Amino acid sequence: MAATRRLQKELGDIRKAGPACFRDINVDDTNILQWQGLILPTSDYYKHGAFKIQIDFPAEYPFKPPKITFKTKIYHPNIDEKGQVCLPIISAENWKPATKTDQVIQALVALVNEPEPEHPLRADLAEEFSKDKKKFQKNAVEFTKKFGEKRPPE
Amino acid sequence: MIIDFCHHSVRSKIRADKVPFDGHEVHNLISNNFQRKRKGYLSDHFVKPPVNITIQLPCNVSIYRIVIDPVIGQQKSSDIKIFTAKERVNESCITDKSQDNLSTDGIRFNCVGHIYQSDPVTVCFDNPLFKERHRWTVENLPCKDTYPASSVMNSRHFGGLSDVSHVTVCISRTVGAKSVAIKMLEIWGIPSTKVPHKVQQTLKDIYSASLKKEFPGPMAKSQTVILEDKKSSFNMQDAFNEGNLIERNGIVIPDEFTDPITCEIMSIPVLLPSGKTVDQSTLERHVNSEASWGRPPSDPFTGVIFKTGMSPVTNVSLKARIDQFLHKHSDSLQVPQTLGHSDKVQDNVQGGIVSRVVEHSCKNSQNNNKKSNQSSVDLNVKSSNFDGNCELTDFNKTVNCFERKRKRSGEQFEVKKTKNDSEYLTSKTITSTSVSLLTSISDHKSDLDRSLDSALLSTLSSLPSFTLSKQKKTQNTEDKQCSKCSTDLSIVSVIKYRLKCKHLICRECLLPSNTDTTFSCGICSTMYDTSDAVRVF
Repeated sequence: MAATRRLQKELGDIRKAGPACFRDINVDDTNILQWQGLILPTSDYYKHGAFKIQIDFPAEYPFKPPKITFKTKIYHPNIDEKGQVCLPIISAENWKPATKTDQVIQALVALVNEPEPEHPLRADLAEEFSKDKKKFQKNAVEFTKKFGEKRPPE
Repeated sequence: MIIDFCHHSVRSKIRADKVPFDGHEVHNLISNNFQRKRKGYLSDHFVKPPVNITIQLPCNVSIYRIVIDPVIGQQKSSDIKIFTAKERVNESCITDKSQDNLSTDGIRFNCVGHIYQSDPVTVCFDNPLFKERHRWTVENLPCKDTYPASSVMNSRHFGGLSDVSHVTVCISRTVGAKSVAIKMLEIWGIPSTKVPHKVQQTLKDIYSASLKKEFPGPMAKSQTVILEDKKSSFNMQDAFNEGNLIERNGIVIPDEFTDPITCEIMSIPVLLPSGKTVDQSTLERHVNSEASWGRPPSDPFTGVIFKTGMSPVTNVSLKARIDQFLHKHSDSLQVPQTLGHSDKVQDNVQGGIVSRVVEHSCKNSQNNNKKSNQSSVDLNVKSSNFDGNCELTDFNKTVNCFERKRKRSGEQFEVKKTKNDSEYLTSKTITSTSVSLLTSISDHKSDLDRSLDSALLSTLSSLPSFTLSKQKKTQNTEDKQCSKCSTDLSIVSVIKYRLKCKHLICRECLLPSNTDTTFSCGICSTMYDTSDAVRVF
């Protein structure tokens, strides 16, 4: 399979010197196409918790983009209740085969830290975010404390 | 006793017609150094089959058996032919220690054996007509069934196997288009009856003395020891291979040899405008996926669209280094290589080459026609010459034809010229490289003739024919009139039909009455049914 060697290399690189915001990477030995890990956002809304994500690589990777889903519920305008994310760099249209997974994760963490209400998946949260930041922050922090994973020690 | 004429003590001479890979010289096959003998012969990474390995025997030999191991690591030779020649050998070279060069000029070789293996293994060619003689009996040799593959040799020519002076092993195909490999070669035989007794005795003494030196103890035992030893070394190597295949990282692959996108070793590295190098297959997949979004080909790293002066080029020097590297580690890395001829099975390699050249040249000539109308007029004249010569089978005449055509066409036919050159060259190389080996195979000449015929025909069919248009001209007078009523058919409003005899008829004459469905042609008075006529516009 074409994807295997590239994924092995990327996984090795990320485990050795990956971004600090992506931790506890868990890959099944029998299926290197599915990765799970914790992302640790730094913005005020989500800094109290960690979020479990799953990255699914297609067999045609790196010629087709990976898919990212949130396994932990998150109060975020760009992430829907099913955990689907709208991330431009991994959309089929914009995907470049040279894009590396750590770049994808950095883009994802940046999106989590700074929601983009202009392209929402949940219109209600986007409206709340743009009209009443304080209320949004209160809700987000509460939500994170209730549903978020425990942050692993530094 | 029976002698292995590839044993170093008997001083056979060996030569290969293609460059070897470093450390895998052809002399390894007859070396007295065990380490070198184990390495065998491997052609360099840029060498394409066929490769001929010729052994000049120390005296004329009656061959009993030839054993060939065509596998070195991942390099496997699949198509093996054996040729022999029966010149007179000056036996003085047995005692003569000078290493003069082996020359095959002017020697006639006959094909005696051929095998094709899709998954090559050690093969044993036996001579079923071998006759033992007093004091020269077959002993201590394993049964041919102990070899994984076996074939028989036969010769239509007298003395093709019983009075042999030279043996040529010709490898014309390899598995996966990799390098030509021969790990081990044994030629078992006895001196032929024509060899003086004194020389036979000398040879025997030298051989048995050298065997005793190498393996003290009874002969029988020592021989089996050799075989067992060889087998165990094979097994060890197999195990070694498997171990390496699992642990690929046992070999450090330089970063520059891997594709930054797929992380695989590149087989055709392509340098992009962005300065990065990727494999051609990667680039093709990227271009295809971009095309599915309706976008033009672009650099997979920067997204900059390719244009003239900013397009990918093959990184030739890197490719050479990768090939060198793969060659070195071919035991443990399974990476496709891009040498050798295509994947199709070709019984006649030379025929294939010619037809391919012609295919190519057809394209060229078509392009050429499109390019210049003026020159196509010239071409017409020439092709009329050609039609006359169409049935020529003589190779030389064909070449002359091409030559003549080339001279006339002059400078404006650059493309055409190169085509002719290449064709001429191909033919020339066929004759020069294989004349000694192949002229003797009776059906080869006819094969060559046939392929040249088809080549010529296919070339001609792509050219406009002058004679055909001439025919049309003669028909033109008939074209203008109805065959019966001589009505002028060039008037557009008249509906005309063509008959099987190529004559024309107008609608009025074709349908004289509603009841009668038959009619006759006015010129050749053949009877036709009305339904036979085809309308022409």
